[in-house]
Amino acid sequence: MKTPHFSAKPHLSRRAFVRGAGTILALPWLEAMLPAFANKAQAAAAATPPRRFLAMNYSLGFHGPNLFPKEAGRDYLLTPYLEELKEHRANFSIFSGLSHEEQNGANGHTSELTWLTAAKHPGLLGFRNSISFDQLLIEKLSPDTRFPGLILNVIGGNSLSWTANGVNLPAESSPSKVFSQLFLNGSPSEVKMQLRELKRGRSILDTVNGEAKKLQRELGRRDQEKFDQYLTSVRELETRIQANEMWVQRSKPKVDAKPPTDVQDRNDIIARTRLMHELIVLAFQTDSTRFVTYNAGELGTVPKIEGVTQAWHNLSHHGQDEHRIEELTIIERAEFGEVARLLGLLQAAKEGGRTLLDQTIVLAGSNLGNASSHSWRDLPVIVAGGGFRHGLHIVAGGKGNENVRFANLFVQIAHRLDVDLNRFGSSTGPAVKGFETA
Amino acid sequence: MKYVFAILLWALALPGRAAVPPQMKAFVENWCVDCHDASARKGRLSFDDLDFAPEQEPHTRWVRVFDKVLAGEMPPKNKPHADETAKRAFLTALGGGLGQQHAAMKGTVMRRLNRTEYENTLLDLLGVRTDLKSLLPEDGKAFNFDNIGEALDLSPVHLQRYMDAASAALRDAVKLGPAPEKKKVMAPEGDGKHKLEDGAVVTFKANGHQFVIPGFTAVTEGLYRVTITGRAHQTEEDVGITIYAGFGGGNESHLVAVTELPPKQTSRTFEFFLRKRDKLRLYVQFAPGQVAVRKNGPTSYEGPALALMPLEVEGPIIGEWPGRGHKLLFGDLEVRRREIVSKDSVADARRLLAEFVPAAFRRPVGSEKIAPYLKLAQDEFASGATFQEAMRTAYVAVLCAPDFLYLREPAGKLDAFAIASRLSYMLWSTAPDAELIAAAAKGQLSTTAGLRAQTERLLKDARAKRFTEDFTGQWLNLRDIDFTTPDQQLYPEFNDALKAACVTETELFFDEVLRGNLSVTNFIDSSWTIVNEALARHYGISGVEGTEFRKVPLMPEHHRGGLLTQASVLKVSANGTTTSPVVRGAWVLDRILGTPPPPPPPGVPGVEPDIRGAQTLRQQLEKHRTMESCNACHRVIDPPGFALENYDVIGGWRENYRSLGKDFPKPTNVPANVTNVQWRVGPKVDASGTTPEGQPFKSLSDYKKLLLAQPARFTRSLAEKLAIYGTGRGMGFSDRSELDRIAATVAAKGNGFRDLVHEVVQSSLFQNK
Repeated sequence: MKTPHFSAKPHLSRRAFVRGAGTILALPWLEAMLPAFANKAQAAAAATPPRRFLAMNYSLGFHGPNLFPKEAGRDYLLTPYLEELKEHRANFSIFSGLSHEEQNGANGHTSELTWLTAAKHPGLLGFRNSISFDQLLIEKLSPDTRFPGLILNVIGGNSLSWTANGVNLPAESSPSKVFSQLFLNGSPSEVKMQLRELKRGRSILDTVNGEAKKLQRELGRRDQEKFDQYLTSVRELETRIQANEMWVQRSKPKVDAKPPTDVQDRNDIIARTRLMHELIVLAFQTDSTRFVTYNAGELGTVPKIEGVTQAWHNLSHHGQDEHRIEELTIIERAEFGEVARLLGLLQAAKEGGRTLLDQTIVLAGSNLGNASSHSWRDLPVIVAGGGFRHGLHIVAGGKGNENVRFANLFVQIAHRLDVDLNRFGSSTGPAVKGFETA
Repeated sequence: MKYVFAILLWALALPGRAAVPPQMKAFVENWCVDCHDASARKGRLSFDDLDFAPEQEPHTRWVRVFDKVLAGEMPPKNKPHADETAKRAFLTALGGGLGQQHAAMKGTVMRRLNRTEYENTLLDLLGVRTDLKSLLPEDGKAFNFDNIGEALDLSPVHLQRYMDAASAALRDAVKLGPAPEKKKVMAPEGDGKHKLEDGAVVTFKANGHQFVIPGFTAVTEGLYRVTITGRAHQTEEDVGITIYAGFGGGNESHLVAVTELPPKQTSRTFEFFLRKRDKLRLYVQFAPGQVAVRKNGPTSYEGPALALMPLEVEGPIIGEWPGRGHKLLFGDLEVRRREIVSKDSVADARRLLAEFVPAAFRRPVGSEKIAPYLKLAQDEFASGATFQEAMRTAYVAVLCAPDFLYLREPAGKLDAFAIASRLSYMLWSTAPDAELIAAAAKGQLSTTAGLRAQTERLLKDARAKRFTEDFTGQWLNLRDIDFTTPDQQLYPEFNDALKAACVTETELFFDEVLRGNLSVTNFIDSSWTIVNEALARHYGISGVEGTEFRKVPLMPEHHRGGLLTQASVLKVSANGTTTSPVVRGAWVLDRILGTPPPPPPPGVPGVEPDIRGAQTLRQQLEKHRTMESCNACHRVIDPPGFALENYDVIGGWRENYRSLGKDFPKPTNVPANVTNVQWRVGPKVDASGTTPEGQPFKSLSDYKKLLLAQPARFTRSLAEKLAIYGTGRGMGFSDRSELDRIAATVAAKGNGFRDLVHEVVQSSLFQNK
């Protein structure tokens, strides 16, 4: 196995992490863990390697002519972006003709709120997001892992993950923090302190819960409905704290990799992406989690990539200007290069005679089909790994209004993960035609 | 109860065309169902399956029916018409029913503090400056505002983060050690440095006049206070300065202060947040002679420069020392070896919580409200925690309790404390202060004069700045000023100082109208604005020098006046490259006229801009204006957008679009401070149009005249925005008459903006849940 490489520079001490957290619940878990894992019956299934799911959204889209092959099926000619993935040709499929329903929203970019939820009219009056696909999978499968899910992004901003009542779950963008939560054990006295903080957190919740119940009785109907969120949240957080009291006493998996040093420069988007990708592989490999969402981000500034001189967002509004499309292509090729590297790492990691890639469904794409006109039709969608029959360009639907529902693919992925799901969002069927299990 | 009964009667009386109540049935049968029954379904409306039910969806559709009939749009002009009497009877019946329906369902849904309110409240309570906002998840929005009860949800993540945030703020509030010392940072350095007699340093960098502040790196994230002392050197004029933070450890740099120094030695102090590892750099603005310095070296350079004395940097500032937070939390209890000493933990805990709980809950509370937290403290203490730890645990619980996190507003008329909270969250974005709570306790807020006096007091207080920032930030969407970066090839003159100035202009403009009780029509058109040099240059206004903002008169050749011509508004309604009349038109309808257009229908792709060719976006859009189905909405949306076409993406005046097409001619007159111009003079701008009412206009100044001809429309719209922001709920059918009354009352008094704020606060909308 190729050990994922992290920079060998000196890193923050473990103590610094604990102190830096500065929280009453200095937990070894991310809040990414939603919902609570109540069910441990999964342990029995541990004999066979688990399946995982990784979703990555590139919110400025990709320049279509550089991505979509002209030919459908197995014998398509590689396009400039797919050229980057050619080593993995047999392990991924590219889809065209997919989109979510009615994504016209508050502005041209609001479809990024709903890429993984399929809710309609993002940001318009009365909009409330629905549960994101990863969170639904976690809810259905209750994985018995230290982290039910990891929610990551390359720089600040929204994550891809949403709760059932439409709250965006905060993402972590510091690989070093994630690494310490995944792999660094506290000293015995730190563990003791963490346990005490967890217990104190529970006492606080007990106290406010008592008060909340009294209050609930005084409220009118609509206030009661709203306030129910508070009571539910107290209960869920209590369950999670309990689970953490168990996890905090178990030692974390050992890895060879050195803790990563965060890349501070926001514009060095490729280096940041690479670190996160390495971490995602480690998290899957150690079965620390089985569900990861990654917001691959965008910049209003100039990314640090050789040959790029203009702000990324502006380049995406290229207005057909040749020079801009050239620079945009440099950025997007680099992104594809990183995806290729990620697939390579997943492919190199073996478990139970299979590759980690075989056990991991990687969904990579964008909420925009054409960022220059803010079109949310004709989304670029790539699925790699996960035991599907790959190597195809699947023309799932016609162009524009003839698109087939992207959410059908979600339902198909859920089935592959043994989740019983009839519909997701605006889905109209259980699968994308032509895409099959290997 | 009465309402419920009335609606029940309506709902029961449904024979035949099942859904339509009898009072309206004849009208609907005679004039509507030919096009709007289950088979025809024109405009996706069928009265066969439109219940008259007190639920959001059917209610909204019936309100649309009401508005279309009222406006005379339906039944259509080319179809048979009802006579006026029948129409009026129909509207009376329908309006009565809709009013009852809405009155029964309205009311602010239990409102959680949003991130801004949460942070302000906790910081004001504890007298600290901890950054809490970034710990909390983003808030949901409705009606463009993020303080709407219905849209503010709560999740386990929130609760977890509330615990973290409360702990962090409490940690900063409790002062157990000695006060931190002021740190003096010494002289700045540069490539070619010379020291003047009094120790001031003049430096030049090869790439401009730039001072790196050596020896200073923010050791930790927090608020820093920086005092610079210096003077303009080798010039009689002020020298403009921008200060940037960043640069250390790969931190992205960002503008933290803009100022200028006169020839006479002067000190200026700024406070701003720095991240860990941030360093500071100081740039001299508009400095000519860079080339000369580069060529001949600094010693022979005789042009304008800056002479800088050692800087003083203090921080991180964690509030007063030991500060009101420490006093509130631990009173005068002795601190020994970094531990709070309590001789009688039960009595002390009771006394401290009796102070803290009402302060946190924004109203007086009985002992039963304190008891659970006292018990928590005692339990912690009993299980081995120190007094200080036990109290902190109790305080965190108080700050995670629903009484702190939510605004308590029982049904009907609000009590004095709920009014006090509404008022202070509206005007200060924070909890009521002691004086406002005292006024509530004395019953002063239930009198017109008493409430007016408190409103005035809050408006005059420095904290009212939050109203300006928060309200304009959302009403006009100024918060999105950073959403896109203007294209540097097309708009090389845009920089951070100009960006900061745009937002400041709009805020100061808003303040000026508010402070002087000037007519709200100033927001549509004004003979003045407030600018500094950077913005004046951008607008082509001469005679304004320096970074200080001042009120200036506007002349027709400036093409400015009112909000619509302010660069901030013009920037947030465009992307970094192109303007779209559709996006800007929708912005005007939504934000200014208060009539947001319906979303684009599904299945219609956006127009893809082409900046190479001769076709403007307007010409590309012309295609879909000729289709009847598109034009139904676009005849309303596009005109205000057309009127704004003379303003580019950064709010500059243009008669031609800028283009990167090589076939276009190079510009002949370019702003003096811009070098390396790459753009060409593209197609000519057409800013003419026709309003949906059929009034033609040639440019924005014509269009503004049309808006000013019916000022009531804007006053009513602004009243509604203020009411939404002040109450935390959307306005609906049963609020219409009160909003009309507010607008009419204010109009009769001269449309003063301050009067409008007072009328909204005094209105039944604000006084009731």
